[in-house]
Amino acid sequence: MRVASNTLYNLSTSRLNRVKYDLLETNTRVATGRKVNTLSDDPVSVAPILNLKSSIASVEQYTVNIATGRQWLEGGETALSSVKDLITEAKVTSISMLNGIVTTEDYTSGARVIEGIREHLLTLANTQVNGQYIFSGTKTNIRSFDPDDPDNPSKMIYQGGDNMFGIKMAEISKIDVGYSGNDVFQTPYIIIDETNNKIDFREDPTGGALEYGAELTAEIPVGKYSPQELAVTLESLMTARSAAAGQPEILNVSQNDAKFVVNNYSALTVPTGGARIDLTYTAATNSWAILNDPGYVPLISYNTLTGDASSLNLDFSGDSETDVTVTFDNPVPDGYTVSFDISAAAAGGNDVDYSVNYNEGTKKFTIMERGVPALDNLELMWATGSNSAASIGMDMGFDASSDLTGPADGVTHASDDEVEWGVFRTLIELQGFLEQGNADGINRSIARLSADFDYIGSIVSQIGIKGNRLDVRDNIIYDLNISYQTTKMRLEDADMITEITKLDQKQFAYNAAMSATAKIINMSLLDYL
Amino acid sequence: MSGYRITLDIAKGALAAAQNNLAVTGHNISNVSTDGYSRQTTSLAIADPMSLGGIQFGRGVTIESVQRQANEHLEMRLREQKSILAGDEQAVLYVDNLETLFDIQSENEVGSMIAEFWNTWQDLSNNPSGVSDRAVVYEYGNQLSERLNILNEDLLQLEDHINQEINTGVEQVNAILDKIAGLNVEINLQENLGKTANDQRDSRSTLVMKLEQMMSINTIDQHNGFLTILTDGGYPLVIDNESYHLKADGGRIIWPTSSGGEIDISDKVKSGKLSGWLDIKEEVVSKMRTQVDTLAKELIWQVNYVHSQGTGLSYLSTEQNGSYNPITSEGGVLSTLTYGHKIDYSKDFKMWTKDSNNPPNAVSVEVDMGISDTSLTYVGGAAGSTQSKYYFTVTTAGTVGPGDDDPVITWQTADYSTTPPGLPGGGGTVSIADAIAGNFGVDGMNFTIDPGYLIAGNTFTVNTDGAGTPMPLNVTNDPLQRANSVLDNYVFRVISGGGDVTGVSEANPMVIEWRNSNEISTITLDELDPITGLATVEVDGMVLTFGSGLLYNDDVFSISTDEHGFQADENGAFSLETSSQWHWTVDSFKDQFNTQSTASGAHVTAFTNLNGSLKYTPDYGYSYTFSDDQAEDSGLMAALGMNTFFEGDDASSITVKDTLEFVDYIAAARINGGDSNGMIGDAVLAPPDISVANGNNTFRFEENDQSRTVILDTVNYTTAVDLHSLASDIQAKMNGASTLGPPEPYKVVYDQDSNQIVISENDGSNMDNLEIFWSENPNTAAALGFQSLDKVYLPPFGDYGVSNNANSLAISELQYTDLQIAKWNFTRGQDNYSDTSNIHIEGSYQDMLSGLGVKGAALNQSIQFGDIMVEQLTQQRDTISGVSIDEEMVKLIAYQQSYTAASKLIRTVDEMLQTLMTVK
Repeated sequence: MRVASNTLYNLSTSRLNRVKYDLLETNTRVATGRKVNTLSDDPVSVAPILNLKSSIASVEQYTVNIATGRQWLEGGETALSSVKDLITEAKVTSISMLNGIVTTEDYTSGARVIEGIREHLLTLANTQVNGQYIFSGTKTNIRSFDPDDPDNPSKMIYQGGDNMFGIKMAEISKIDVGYSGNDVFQTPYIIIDETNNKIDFREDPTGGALEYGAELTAEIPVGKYSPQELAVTLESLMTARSAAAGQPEILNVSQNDAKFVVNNYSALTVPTGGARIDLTYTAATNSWAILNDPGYVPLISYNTLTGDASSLNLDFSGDSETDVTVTFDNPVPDGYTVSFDISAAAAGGNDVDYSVNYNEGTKKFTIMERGVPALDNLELMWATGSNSAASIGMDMGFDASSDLTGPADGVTHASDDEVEWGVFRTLIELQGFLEQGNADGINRSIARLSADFDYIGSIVSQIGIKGNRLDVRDNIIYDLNISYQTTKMRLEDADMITEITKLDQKQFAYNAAMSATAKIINMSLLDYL
Repeated sequence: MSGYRITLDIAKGALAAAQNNLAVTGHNISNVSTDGYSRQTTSLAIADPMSLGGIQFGRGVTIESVQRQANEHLEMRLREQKSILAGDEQAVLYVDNLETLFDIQSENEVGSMIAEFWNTWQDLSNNPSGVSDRAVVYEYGNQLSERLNILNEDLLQLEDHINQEINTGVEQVNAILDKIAGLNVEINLQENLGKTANDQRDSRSTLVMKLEQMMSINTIDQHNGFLTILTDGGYPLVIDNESYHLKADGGRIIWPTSSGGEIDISDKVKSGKLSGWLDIKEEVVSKMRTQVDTLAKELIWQVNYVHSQGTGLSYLSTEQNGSYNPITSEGGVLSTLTYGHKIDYSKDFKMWTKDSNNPPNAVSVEVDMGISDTSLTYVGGAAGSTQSKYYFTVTTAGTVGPGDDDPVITWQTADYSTTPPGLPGGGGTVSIADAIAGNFGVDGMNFTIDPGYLIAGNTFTVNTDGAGTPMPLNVTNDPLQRANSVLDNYVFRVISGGGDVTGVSEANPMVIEWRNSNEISTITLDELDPITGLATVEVDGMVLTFGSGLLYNDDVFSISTDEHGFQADENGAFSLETSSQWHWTVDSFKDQFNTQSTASGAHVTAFTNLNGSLKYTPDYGYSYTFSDDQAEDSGLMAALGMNTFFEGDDASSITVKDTLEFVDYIAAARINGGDSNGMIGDAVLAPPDISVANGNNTFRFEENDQSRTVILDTVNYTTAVDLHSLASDIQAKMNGASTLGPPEPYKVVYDQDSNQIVISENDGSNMDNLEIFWSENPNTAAALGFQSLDKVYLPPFGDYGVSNNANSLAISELQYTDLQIAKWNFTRGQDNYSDTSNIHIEGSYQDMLSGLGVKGAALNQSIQFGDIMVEQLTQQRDTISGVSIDEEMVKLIAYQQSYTAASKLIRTVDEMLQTLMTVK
């Protein structure tokens, strides 16, 4: 086959070029450390590499966001832990004031202590982080709380906003790290216990000769209530009390855990000679006996008084139906005594249909009669009621120092003040009670303080949970970052060992090509002629 | 002749042959490295013998011919491969250039900048009141915009560059064509004399090789030595001795016809440098530029839509101008705005205003941006004003049907018989009371209207002809044809020849300009289809037929496309919007807003600027802002460019709105919308069961703790449309019972989309809290769709905190939100069209780069392959036509010996003669 001279030269040139090109490529890869330097080097990897670049930038941003979030959470947690300590201090002071030998000076100094605690609390409620009030919602330039009257405050006014400050920690996910002071320092519920579970009221029916009837009392079951729940419960209780014909009550005089269930009220009559009955249990005979007899003749006979170690049945009317059942949590020992009193039938009501409302906007309760009015007037006996020490009035925003009288139709009996349940309110009231030396009030405040303590505790644990979430997310992000970087490296980076080896190879090949070319280029027949 | 004479003759012949052979060898040797040279060989023949006394004596050797060793087929194949390779090599140069524009390792690369842009919004979210964080957002927004501007510039420059290369290339082609024609003449001359013109053929071959490297051609060898050269597609370039020059015009290759016409043959050039340039320009650079534009457009709209709903560190206290303007004719039809087709008319517009001296009491103005679905139909009668335009605007909203809420339509005319059109002429109002509901007249024209709800601010126009007959535009399309641009809006405007669309002809054409997001072009209506009698045109893939109508110059209509390119709206109906259907214009919005603003005491006035954009001016001491976190925003402000972040409508014009240089205005916050959007009915109302009668027509409510009672009219509501009347009855009765006005505090609407009654506050209301005691009147509650539970409504105050970051968080979430983005397909020789992809913005960008990378890799592969092919073919050609020095050397020696031998012959004969001469 003929081989033209040019062929030799052309082939040498193109081979040299090819080797040089490879050398250049390998050199670039070694110099930059990457095997994807331009889009066309590996177009399939380009999109994932760009994606990863973007993702890495994102997770680095999330790390910054999380750091900001942590600052906020920690600020709040620190402040609220101190709040809890302060509440404990207030409780301790109050309990010491319940001592029987306490004097007026002691009360006064106690009030001063509480005042100091309240002022300290105000400072904590206005905590700032980086110059921003963290308890003001998103209105972080405004002081969270201020007293309505600096010298003689009756309530703390929240000036912040309701939205909470949030940060972004994932593609489409925001977590709230800020606080709305309202939600923290005001409790959305109230704990009802024996210190604040009663309401006394009197009805003045239309056209009646009497101005006001007998005192009616409604008792709210202990528990936790939101304002709406309280309104609903109170409404049904007042209505029921007004409808009740008035029944005798059993009062457990002995200090034990006996529970009384009355099956038949009409069988209960108040004996003339005093009402107290004492009953004793004898283990040997597994029976009960009456120790004293105030005049319950039917009870003397044995089949009207049955029972054993865990329950006791009493038949007052003698019709073989159990009228009162007494149960015990634990079986009673030998010689155990149960004593109870039967009080006179309470007065009946006028079957009024009450309506109790809580208005979210004005934060006030209203108590009134619903429908066609049957009463001329309704008196809410906050101050003069027999249970005013345990009255719910103060907690519903009514002025507890005076009764509220007036027509029941058209005009509603509304709270004098906005309802506020929270640690500030409790402390202000407590201070008032201490200055007056009101032991019942102090008692009540202690219960309030416990509830407030629990509530703040729950908020602190929520903060803890959020902090946890941030930590978890942070860890995930850290791992993600590493994983993204690794994947990106795998797609993009050159394996230095391979490339350097290749570089050596290509260099060698280049040298060989050049040397071969040199040899043949010089050869020509002319040399030999 | 005697013996020695013959011998001398033979010797002479031999010498000549040797000399000539040497010459040819010498020619070969000297041309060993000449491009395109084919080695020549001599063909020797025996000289004619002589007959002498009956004996044949040979007379030696003659050179018959000098032949050129060449294989035409091989040459052709080599030419083709070289052509393809040349094209690819040019293409890869530009692709490399593009790859450096998109250097994925750099920080300044657009993709990284977009990612970083979202991060600046997250930084702002972490500290919304921080001045430096705001400054960073502003600066980075500018940097990103500039980067996009520069990218667009660079791509344009690249296109320009390629155009220049094409121009130069065409000139080179023309020069080569001339030379080839010249050689044709020479070869023909030579070969007519019977000799092959070897060297000229070689030269011509080389030139043709160069030509084919520039552009693909077809060659035909003629028998008389001429070479005919045609383009792909059969247009002659060289015929015989004539060469036909090509023209380059703006990057297109034109073949001029003999009658002065021009034929664009760019798409027919399949290989060669010109093809490479055209490919890169049209399939890569143009496509990238369009794709980058699409990306920029999407970025602008998405960021603007969210930003326009937010608030900066304080309400805006200065005058603000919108950055987008519509086509100003007909009041500034909203769908002619760049982003006009993105407005969602099922949602609303809301503005909050505040008195700086009395901050806590902010007033809101809410404009219902709906579009009435009940239209007027013309049934007869002649209008009082001929050759005019009638404008109809709903100035009082209401229901056509029973009930007290009668809508009022205000109308005006403009005289279009003069140019420019006359100022507004006659006018009046029509109240669609129950009596005339369904049929009413305006200025001599009779209309019917179906029962329905008319929304205030809706407007439409109708043109009347010389006889006073209204002629609304009617256009139909072929629903199966897809437009080339998806998710786009085609805006049509008559620029000349306005008149009856059924009266167009060649002598009386109507020229309509159309534009979409990428291009502006025109269509001309100049002939009527002989069968249908109507004008039909093809526009960017759509086929439109103009059924009837009268259009004046500057009249507009628009057609939007869905994600497949079909011209349909979300219900599948033809997405045509003409001015004769209810629509909004900037003017009608401005008027409606001002009416509501005055009534509610908002103290902000809207104006229309000369260029059609909107302007808000607050009264002294008042400030304003937009939307809140509960409001459903229609996007009107974003489309008008009010309170937006970006300006511009593509990559070359994107920039940050300069009012944001005052970085406090960057909208990181959203106004607190409060807990509710009004009191919304719990149940869905289902007529015809709604019957309000005694026993379920009253209810009690408390406003600001004052008790009020409402007694509704006893009406039987039978259709869904009537429920608008029910809502307005409730509104009227509540406002009647209230003592808080003016302005009237309550607004009650019937939401047709969700079938519920919504009770909320009116603009400027003084109501602070509203409680409706449904439990007291459960029958009424059930009739109106409410549960019998008392409900409270606390209207929002328009406040927000300095650390409110709701809006900036929403903007940062756009980073990973999947959007519908158009993806372009550019193929040389075909129309460009787009598809829809569901992807986020960075994803679309990455796709684009991926495509470029694939193209680059493909080209590199092709070049590698091409290199090898060309090498192989060259080798094969050289085997036949190439010069081998060794071979020529050997031949040299051989011819030399032959010469020596021949000379020896002469010497011998000479000596013989001498001997003869010395004989005595």
